[in-house]
Amino acid sequence: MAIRVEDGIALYRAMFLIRRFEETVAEWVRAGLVPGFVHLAIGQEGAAVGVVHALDGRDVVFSGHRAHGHLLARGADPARVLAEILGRAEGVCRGLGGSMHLVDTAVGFWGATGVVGGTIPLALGAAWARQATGGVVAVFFGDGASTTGIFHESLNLASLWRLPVLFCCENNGYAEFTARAEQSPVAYARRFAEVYGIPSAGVDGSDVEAVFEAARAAVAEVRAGGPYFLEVEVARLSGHYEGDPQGYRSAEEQARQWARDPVRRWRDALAERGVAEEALAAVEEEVARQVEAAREQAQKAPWPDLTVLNHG
Amino acid sequence: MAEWTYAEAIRQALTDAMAEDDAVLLLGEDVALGGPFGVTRGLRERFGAGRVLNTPISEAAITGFAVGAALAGRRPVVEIMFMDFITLALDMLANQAAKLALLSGFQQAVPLVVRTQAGIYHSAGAQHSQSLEAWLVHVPGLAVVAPGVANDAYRAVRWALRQPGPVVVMEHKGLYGRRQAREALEWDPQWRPGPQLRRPGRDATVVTYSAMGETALAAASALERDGISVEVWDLLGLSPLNLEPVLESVRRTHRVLIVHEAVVTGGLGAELAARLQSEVFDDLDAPIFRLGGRPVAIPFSPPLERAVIPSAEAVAEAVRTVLA
Amino acid sequence: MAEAIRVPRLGLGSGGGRIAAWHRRAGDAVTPGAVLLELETDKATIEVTAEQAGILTGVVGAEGEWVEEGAVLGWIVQPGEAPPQAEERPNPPAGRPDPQAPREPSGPRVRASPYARRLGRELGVDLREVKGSGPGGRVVARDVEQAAQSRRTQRMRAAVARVTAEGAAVPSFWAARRVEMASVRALLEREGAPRGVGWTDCLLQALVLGIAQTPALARARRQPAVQVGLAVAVPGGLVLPVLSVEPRTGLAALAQARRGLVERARAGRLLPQDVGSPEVILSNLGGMGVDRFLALLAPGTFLALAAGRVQEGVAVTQGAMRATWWAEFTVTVDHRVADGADAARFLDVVAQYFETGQGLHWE
Repeated sequence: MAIRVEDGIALYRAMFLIRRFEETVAEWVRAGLVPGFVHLAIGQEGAAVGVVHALDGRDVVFSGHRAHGHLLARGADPARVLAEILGRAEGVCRGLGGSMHLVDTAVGFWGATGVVGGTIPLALGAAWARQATGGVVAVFFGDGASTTGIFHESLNLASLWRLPVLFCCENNGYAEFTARAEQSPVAYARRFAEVYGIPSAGVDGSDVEAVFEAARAAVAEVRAGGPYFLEVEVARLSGHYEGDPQGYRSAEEQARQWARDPVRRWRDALAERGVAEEALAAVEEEVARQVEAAREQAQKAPWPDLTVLNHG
Repeated sequence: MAEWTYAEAIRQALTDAMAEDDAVLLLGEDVALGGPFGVTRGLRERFGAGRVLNTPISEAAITGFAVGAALAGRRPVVEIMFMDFITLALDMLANQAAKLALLSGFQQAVPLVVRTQAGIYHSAGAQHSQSLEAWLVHVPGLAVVAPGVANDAYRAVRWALRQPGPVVVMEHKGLYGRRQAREALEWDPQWRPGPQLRRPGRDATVVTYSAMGETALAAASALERDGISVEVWDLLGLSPLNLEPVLESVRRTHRVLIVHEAVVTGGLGAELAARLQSEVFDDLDAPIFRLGGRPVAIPFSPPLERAVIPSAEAVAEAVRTVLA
Repeated sequence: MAEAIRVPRLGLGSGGGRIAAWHRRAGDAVTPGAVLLELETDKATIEVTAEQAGILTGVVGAEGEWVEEGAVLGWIVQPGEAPPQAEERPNPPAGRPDPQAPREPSGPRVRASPYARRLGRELGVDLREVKGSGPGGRVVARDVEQAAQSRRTQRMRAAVARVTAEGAAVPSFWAARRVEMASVRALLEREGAPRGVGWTDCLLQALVLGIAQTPALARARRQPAVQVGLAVAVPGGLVLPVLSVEPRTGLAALAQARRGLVERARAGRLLPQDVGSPEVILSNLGGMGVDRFLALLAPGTFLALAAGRVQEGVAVTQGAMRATWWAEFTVTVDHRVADGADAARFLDVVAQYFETGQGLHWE
C-alpha cells in the first residue's frame, strides 16, 4: 500500500533536512568549529523520519547519543539545534546540553543521553505517568544498547506493566567501533523482545516508506495497550562519531553501505512514481536555504554566560 | 506527649504527602507489603496499587522509571531497599536525575525522592550495611539528607517531597525502632534540613549525623562525668551543607571532632574538615579530627561488626585527643 | 576638622599601654563610638573609640607595641580633608614595624594552633616565649591565655609595688573610728529600698560628704566632683578604676555607675574614662570579713578610706546595753594636706552619715 505523493514528499523533505543538517555539522567538525563529540545520523534518516512521522502531538520521544535526526524529525528549529551543538546561548538547551543531551519539550522531545541505554527506563516512567493523555512514548536506541542491563530490566518492566512504549532499535550493525557480531550472539535485538513477551517487527531502514508503515502499525498496537519493539536495520554511513577514521570497516563495506542510502533511495522511488525532477529539486533548494539560514543564525548566536547556571 | 518511632514518622510523612498531593507515588521492591522494615506498611491499602507500585528487582530500571515519571510531573518516591544496592541505580541518579535540569537548559525538572537505609544492624553483612553518602554528595544536583531522630525524619521526607530536584533520604536501619516525643505535625514550608543542636557544650564540638548522633550523645554524657563539656551537632542535611551554626559553635569551643559511621577514608568528614578549616582556621586550637568506620568490608561476626564503626567509648577517647 | 586619636591617660603609674589590636584599618570609614583599637595596660584592656565620623588615616603603632600616654596613633579626617601636618604627628621611633604588615616572629617557627596564634596577636603575647602544653609541645590557647594572665599579674604586681613604694614616701598618718551602722542598715534592708544599693555606695556618698565638709580636705580636691579610686580585686592583683562622685549624686545612680565600673574592671575591659587619676581611694574589705585595715596612699592621692566589715555588737548608752551593728573605718591622710583634727572631723561626718542617715540621699 503506497502512501500519498504529498506525504512522500514530506518524508523526503524531512530526510533531506537531516542529511543537509548533518553534512553541515560534519563540515564544521572538519573546520574545528564544533566542541565535543558529535554522532551523526547520516544513513539513518529513514528510521528517524519513518518512525517520528507515525507519531502525533500527544506523543513523546526519547533518544540516545545519535539524536539530531530524531529531534529534527520531531520539528525542532534547525537553527536552535545547530546553536546547541555549537554550545551557544540560543541553543535549545541554552548551550548546557550539547549534541548528546538535546531536549526540546516544546516538540515533545524529552531527552537524549550520552550513556548508552540511559533513556530507556525514563521512557517507561513517562509513558506510565502519561497514560491518561492517550499518548505513547517512543524511545530510540542503537543495537549496542541491547547488551546493557538497563535494556533488559526495562523490557521486563514495560511488558510486566503493559506500558505504552515504542522501543525503537536502530540496528546499524555497529556498537561504537565494534561490529554487532562481536558484541552479541543475538544478531537482532528484537529477539530479546520476544522473550519478554513484547510484540516486535524488523524493517529495512533504507526504505522510509516501509519504516513509516511498520511504525504506524506499531504505534497503533502501543495505543491499544502495551509495548512494541520495532527494529530498524539501518546503514551507518558515517563513523561512530564525526571524525572516526573507521579503521574497523573496509572501504568495500563502506561503499556497499551507500547502496542503502535511504535519502537517495526515496528520491529515486518518488521519481519513479512520477514526481517531477523540478519538484524534488525545489524541495532540495528550499531545505538547503533553510539550513544555510540556520547555519548563519547559529554561528552568530552569543555564548552563554555563567549566570545561566544559577537558574536551578 | 505522644511518642512515635522513626519508622512511624517516615510512614506518616509519606501518608501526609500522598494525601495532600496526588502526584506523589511510591515504588520499590516489596513496598506494597511494607518493605523489610515495615516503613510503607498499609500505604497500598490506603492509596491503591496505582500509587504504591511493587516493582521487580531492577534498581536501575525503577529509578529510571521514576525519573521519567518525574519528568512527566509526578513526584515518585523510590525505595532502594538497602543503600548498598544504590550502586545499581547510580547511573540513573548521577547521570540522569541529577543532571537533566541543567542539561535541558532548565526545560525539565526531576522532583524525585529516593528513600534508602544504611548502617550496621544485627549482622546484616558487608553488602547490607554500608553508609555510602559520600558518593552521593559528590554529585552536583543531588540533595542528601540523613535524619537522626524521628521528628527530623518526618520533616526531611516532607521537605524532600517539595524540592524541585532529586533528594536522597538516607535512613538508618538501626534507628527505625527508636522512639521520640512526637512534635506537631504542622508542616512548616520554611523548614530546611540544617544542623540541629543535640546538646550544648563548652569544650569541644562534635559534628555528626544519622545514628552516630546517639553515639556522640552517649560519649558526651560519659565525658560530662569527668567535667568535659561537649557540644553535639547533628547535620541532618548532608548536601547542600549549611555549616553556619556549626561554625558558630567552633568559634566558641575551638576544637572539633567529626564522627560518621561511613568509612573514614574519602568520607564526608573530609569535606567537613576542609570546609571548617577554611572558614574558622584562626579559631582552631587543635587539628580537626575525624572518626569513622574502619576502611574494611563490614564483617559479619557481631563483635567484629561492632568494632569497625565508632563506639561511644571511641568517640569519648577521640574527644580527649582533640582536647589534648 | 581632623580628630587626633590619642593614647588616653591610662591611670596610675602605667604611663602608657600596649596596642592589643587595631579594629579598623587606615582608610576605613568610621562612625562616632566605633571601636578603633584596644590598648592593654597593667590593669585592663581599654577600647579607644572615635568621637566623630570620618575616615581613619595616618595610623601609627603596631599591634603589640608600647605607646605613651598622649601619643597620637592616627587621625579621623573628613572625606577630601588633607591629612594633618607631619610636624603634628609624632615620629614613630625607628624600627617600628608597619602596623599594616602582618607580624611574623623571626627565628625558628613556633608550633602553635591557629587559635593560639590569633590570641597571641590579640593579647600581644610573643609565642616564642610561651611553653606549649599541647601535643608535641604545641602552643595552644590556654598557654597563651596563661602567659597573658601571668604577664598582667607581673605588671600588676610591679605597679602595686611601685605605687606602694611611692605612696609610702608620702608623709601620712592614720586615724580610725568605730561607727554604728544599724540605722543605714535598716534603710538599705527595708522593703521597697532600691535594689542593688550596697555598703560601698553609701561609703562613696559618705566619703565625698566628709571631704566636702572638712575645709582642709575640700581645698585639696581638684573640683567638687571627687575622683575616687575604687580598689577592686581582680585575678592576680588589684586595680584602681576611677569613679567621679559629686556630693549630690544619689545612691541609685552611684550604685549603677559603681556596678558597671567593677564589672568592667573584673572583665579587664575598662573604658578610657575609667582610668583617670584618682585623688582619694576607697577600699572596702568588709565583704571579705576583714575587721580593720590600713589603706595606703597612692601617688597623687591625699586620702584613703578603709572600711571593715559590718558586724553585730553591743552598744552601751547611759549604762544600758543594746544590740546593734558596727563597722570600723580607718582613714589615711597626706600630712601635707591635713592634720589629725581634720581627719577626726572627716570621720565625724562619716559617722554621722551612718549613725543618723544625715546626708544620705537616694536620688
